[in-house]
Amino acid sequence: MTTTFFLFFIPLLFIAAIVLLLGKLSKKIKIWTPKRIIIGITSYIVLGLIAFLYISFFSESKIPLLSFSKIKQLEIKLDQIQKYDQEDDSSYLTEEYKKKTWDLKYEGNTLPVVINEGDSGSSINFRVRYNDNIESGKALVTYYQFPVIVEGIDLSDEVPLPNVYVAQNQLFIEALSKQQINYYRINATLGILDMNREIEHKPYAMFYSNVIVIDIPRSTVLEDSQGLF
Amino acid sequence: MQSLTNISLKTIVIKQVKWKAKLYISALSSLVIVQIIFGILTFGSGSGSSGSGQGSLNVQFSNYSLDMILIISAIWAFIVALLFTTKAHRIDDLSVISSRTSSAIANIFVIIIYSFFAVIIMISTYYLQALGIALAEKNSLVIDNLFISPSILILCFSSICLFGAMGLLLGTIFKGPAVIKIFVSMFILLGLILIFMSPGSINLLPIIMLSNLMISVLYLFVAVLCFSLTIRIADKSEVSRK
Repeated sequence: MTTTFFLFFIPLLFIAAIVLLLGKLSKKIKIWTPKRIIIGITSYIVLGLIAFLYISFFSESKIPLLSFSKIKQLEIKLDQIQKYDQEDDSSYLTEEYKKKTWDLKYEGNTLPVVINEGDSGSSINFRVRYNDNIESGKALVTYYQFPVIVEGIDLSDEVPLPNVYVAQNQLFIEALSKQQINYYRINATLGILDMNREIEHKPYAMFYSNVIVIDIPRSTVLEDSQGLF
Repeated sequence: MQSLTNISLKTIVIKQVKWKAKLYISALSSLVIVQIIFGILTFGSGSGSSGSGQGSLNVQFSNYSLDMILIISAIWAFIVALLFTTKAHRIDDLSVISSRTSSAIANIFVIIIYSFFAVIIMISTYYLQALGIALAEKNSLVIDNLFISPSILILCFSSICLFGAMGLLLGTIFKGPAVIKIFVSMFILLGLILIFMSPGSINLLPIIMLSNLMISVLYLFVAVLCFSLTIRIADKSEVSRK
């Protein structure tokens, strides 16, 4: 009830006050002749037109919006990824999604892993792969980033990379703290109508947990005290 | 109405419309000022915002749509129309030959004309605000839809017109016969109680789900109904002119 009051009556009273005040002022102050008011309003409309032309020709959004068909394609791709992952088939880990590889060195045949996801809220799946082509004392940590779509924008590039390093002969994987992104969206329509009409048709957000693959030689034992593998 | 020459209602109304449109022009300037103020107040947040948390990302969208500007324009139309029926404005009617009926008809035309200009002012405000955002937040700007579709423009016009019609009707009712005054007061009171006590009981979704043009037709139909009632009540209260 309080919200309704503030949303409706405050603007109502505010507008009423301005309309009344200006009505009185226009009668008392003689410089506000109808002719001058018309010139003022026309100038305002012309300014609006110039603003429209400027945005149309010179202002370009650096953030591309994905088309509905493209979102649908990605949705199918993400479903396939989930299916492969559930079947322990790593063929979905392609170059397309590879974001970064860390080439790390350690000593001995055991490598304890410490994973700290903190309050980042990140959801990373960890996979271990024994690789015969890697020489002893070396590990390859590869980060795969899958599409993150929120309201038609691909935010994959905005996801902060984890911090991966070896210290005291331990492999540390630390997720960076949660990142805040603000977007300013220009949509020359009536949001209240679109919100209700499109809610059933447009996927709002979709993402799939990112994957970190640790490639180690067969001779190495990976110590996982946190039970993540 | 007493006059030495026989002037038709059409001529009187045309004269009054011209006279009133010029006299009340400050109403449009107040709309510009109100929209500038609200444009500045909502500059950072837009008409609304939405947020989403995906993994390690917190995404916040400030949406710049026509909603807020339309609401402001509709409230403005309601207040201006209501003020048209006040005593101060009725005194202005004495400057030209008028009757209650001709004055009501002229008010209706002025409201329609002003609604049209209000839509143009609304568009100007929207693009000026969009330009401000485009310049201030270049890197975070997402242009979803820059062009206002004709159906949205018609819908905006019909919405403003409807609120203007309601304001005019309400103002005229309170100058009309006591029976209608009491009846409408009770109706408004019950309506307000219903809205505030159980907002969920009013379901606007079936209307929202209609196409823009259908909503516009519906709004214009209600507006015409309000205008007709305004003329009827004004005609009835002709004899009780003070």
